[in-house]
Amino acid sequence: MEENIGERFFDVLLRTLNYAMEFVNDRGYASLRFMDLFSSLLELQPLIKEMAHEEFYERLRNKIKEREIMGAQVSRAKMQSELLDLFLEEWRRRSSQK
Amino acid sequence: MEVLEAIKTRRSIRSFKAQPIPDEDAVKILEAARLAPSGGNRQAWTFIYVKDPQVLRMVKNCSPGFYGNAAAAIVIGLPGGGRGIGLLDVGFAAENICLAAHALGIGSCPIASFNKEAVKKVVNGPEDWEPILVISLGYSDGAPRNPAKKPLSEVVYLDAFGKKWSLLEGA
Repeated sequence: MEENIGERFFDVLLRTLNYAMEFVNDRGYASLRFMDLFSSLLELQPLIKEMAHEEFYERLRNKIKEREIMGAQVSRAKMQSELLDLFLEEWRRRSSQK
Repeated sequence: MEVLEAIKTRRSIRSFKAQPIPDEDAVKILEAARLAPSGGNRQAWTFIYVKDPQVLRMVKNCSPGFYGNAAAAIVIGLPGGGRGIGLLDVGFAAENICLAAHALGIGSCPIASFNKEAVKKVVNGPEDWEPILVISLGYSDGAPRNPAKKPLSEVVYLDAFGKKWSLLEGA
């Protein structure tokens, strides 16, 4: 069950990021709103006791802090791409341990 | 299954049973894709058959339009990002995939809503290559409803745009 909730949280977070990426070139706020949701979900992670100490999510939070200027679309797209790379890195790391 | 019957009865499937696809059937489906027409017979496409649950999970995570727990997926890609006629080629191959799968009792759904950058990285796509379409595959978990289709008389003209064909009235 512990592994299950960890995997499910990872999936939901990654899907949210992908929704944000889907709309990044659109006019409007959809991408920004999804990034807000992404950040909110990320803030929940330390409260989930089964996965409270996972360092991966701390790296994601740090990445977002590094790029607090979210106004420009280009910088948002770049940050999303960097977050995506962190997810893929983590997925490969976890897969290699199975 | 007859081709016309397959065309008539195929549906896009978005809910699947937890049942794997036999590799022999997967190969038949991919063979149907390989035999699709392509402009100038270029066959520039690449088909990546994804059946590893962890890779499939990541393809799904990166594809907002991917519904249901499919048993497998096919990622169709082209070199150079796919422009012009190459995109049509992918369409021809995709239809062959969906019809061949249906003839084997396997459901499918073409998915255009996916993060190309992410899926490319998940399947280790090379630099000069881009995924164009994802098709989910699996055994249907129920009978999907029939989508409304426009009548022939509404979409077909005879000899010139806007000229109705009397044969099709009421068809």
